[in-house]
Amino acid sequence: MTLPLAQLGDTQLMAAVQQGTQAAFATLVARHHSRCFTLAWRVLNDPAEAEDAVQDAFLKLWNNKISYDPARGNFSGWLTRIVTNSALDRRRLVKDVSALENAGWVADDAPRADRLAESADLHRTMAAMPARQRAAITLFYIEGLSMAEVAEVMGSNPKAVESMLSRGRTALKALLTETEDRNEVMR
Amino acid sequence: MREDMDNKISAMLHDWQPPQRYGDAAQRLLLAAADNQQINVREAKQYFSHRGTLAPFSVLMMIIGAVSFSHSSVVPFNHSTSHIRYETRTQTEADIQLQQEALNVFSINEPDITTLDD
Repeated sequence: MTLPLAQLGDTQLMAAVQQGTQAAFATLVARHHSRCFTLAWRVLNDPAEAEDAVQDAFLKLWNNKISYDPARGNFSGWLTRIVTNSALDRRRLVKDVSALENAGWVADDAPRADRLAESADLHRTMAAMPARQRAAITLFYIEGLSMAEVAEVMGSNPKAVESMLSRGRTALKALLTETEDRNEVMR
Repeated sequence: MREDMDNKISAMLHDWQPPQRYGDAAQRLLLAAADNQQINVREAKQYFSHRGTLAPFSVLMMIIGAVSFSHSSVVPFNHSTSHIRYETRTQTEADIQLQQEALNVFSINEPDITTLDD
């Protein structure tokens, strides 16, 4: 009995992709697109550019499908590496969009004024960081990679990553303290 | 102490999200191309433009890029409505014409799109 593609694991789908099965590729895209877009958006701070980076990443995945080896790591990690590098490659070609513009994106979905202010502050803080620092913070704090793994994905060294994370931590800590103080006053 | 702060930062960063509607809409367009479905260029442009979610140029690049990954070419289906469909074959004169048509729909000066298939 053949299982529907949606029920197959990533490794099995990649095996099918390696044999040129487009439907398996489409299933992987459907399964991972949202996460990849969010990752690219966090690095690039620009939705249109993030879409293009994800597009580039999936193109690279398809064109380099033979190079995937499950013995060297899981699919998700491999894809994270491709998306991060596609985003960083694109970042070299584009300018940063303004922090205020990105704060507007949050305003659409944030229902309460205090939540809106917090989100806008967070976006502003992240937008002020260089793209590589945003990438390091995303991979470490959100994707849960170790410092050594972040360095490997970004083609950097752990010391440089530690430095980027340290600077980012300082900015985020200040924001966190400010938010906590504000919430304390409002209680 | 440091671990506590890291946990707080991690929790805070989960609020750092792009609008979901953007990714979902783009994903639908990408999958439509992957599944060899028809895409209406004008509708795609209007869909994204009305929501202010995607620059027309990005929609165009997404359509053309989606064709690239499936190793297919764009074929005109109905010029009056700009419907297009995908077939697996090498690029022909018709592909080039449709790319030009898509560029006209998007009112964009022709970029160097020949490199997209590299």
